[in-house]
Amino acid sequence: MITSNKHIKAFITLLSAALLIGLSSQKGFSQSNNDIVKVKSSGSVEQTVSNLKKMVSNNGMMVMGNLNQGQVLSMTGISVNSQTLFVGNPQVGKKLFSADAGVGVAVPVRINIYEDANGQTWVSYIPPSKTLSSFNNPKIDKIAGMLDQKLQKMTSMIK
Amino acid sequence: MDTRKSTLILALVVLAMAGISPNLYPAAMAGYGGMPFFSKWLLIPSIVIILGVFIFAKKQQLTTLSRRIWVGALAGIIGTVGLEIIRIFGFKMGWMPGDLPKLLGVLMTDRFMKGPSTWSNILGYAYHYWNGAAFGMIFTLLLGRKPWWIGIIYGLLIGTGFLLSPAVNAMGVGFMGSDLPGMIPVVYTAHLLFGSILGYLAYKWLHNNGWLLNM
Repeated sequence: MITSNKHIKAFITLLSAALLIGLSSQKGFSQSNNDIVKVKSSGSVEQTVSNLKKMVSNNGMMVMGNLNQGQVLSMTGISVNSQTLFVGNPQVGKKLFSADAGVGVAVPVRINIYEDANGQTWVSYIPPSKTLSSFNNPKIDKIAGMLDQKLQKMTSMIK
Repeated sequence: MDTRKSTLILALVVLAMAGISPNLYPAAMAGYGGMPFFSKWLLIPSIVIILGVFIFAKKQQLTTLSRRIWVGALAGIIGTVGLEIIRIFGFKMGWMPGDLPKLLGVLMTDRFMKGPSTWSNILGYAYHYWNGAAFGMIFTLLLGRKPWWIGIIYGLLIGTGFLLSPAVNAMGVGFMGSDLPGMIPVVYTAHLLFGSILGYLAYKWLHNNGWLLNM
């Protein structure tokens, strides 16, 4: 019986490892590092921003602002390709700010699209459940969870 | 070119131009471009072309066409006053996700992050009323003088189109605004009033019954 349990455990471990290797080799797999979710994009930063804008709308959200950080930073002499979308919607805004007027520190949600040193485009964000968790408010946590799902759905559509 | 043919061609031009305005906001919300760009390169030229056709039709004494243009535009604007009364009431009661003309204004002036200003509000309201005028022109050019209740059907179709559009979807209020219980009745009542005013005034002010091809 003990031997059989050992075999099952070993089998599950091997299966999990295989699954992880398989998933991580897939294009567009989300990486999570220190609460930052990163998703690969095969397009350029500009193409990805354009596609994301459509996905944002399809998922019941609005792009409230688009900060071209690369262009702003070009004034300092540095060359980076990075844009940030500020995403929200009036309903979520109303609910969050009604629950706590201080939520402005974390919303609208920021989605960063940038090109790394190897020319790879990434889409990254910090899940709202992380940025809003310090409010310790169940109403906010519920909305944050919903926003997490929307962001995950949106970014999973990135090719 | 005979009068009938030139009237038809010019009417088609006005129809195409009038169709631009109401589609810009949904297109921008769907991520196909920005409202500042759309306003500058599509909305303003479409208004200029409609005005040009109207002046030309007046000069050439294409009276049926010129009358349908101004009746449609004016009836549409007055219909929008009715629509606005319902919409503002609905918004004050918390039944709408936002103040639409103000939202249109901040999108057009690219100041979403700063919020509305007097100028953005003026532009937003002007755009909303122009949409009413555009829908009015589409109605009168296509249908001519028809019983006023046809306007109600037309208004309800516009309301349905709005609720199904990316403009509503982007507000996070569910399919056709179903997550915000008061929204659907407000939108339909407002568009019902718009359509009935438009239909009534078009019936009263137009003389010609024929639809587009029988103008």
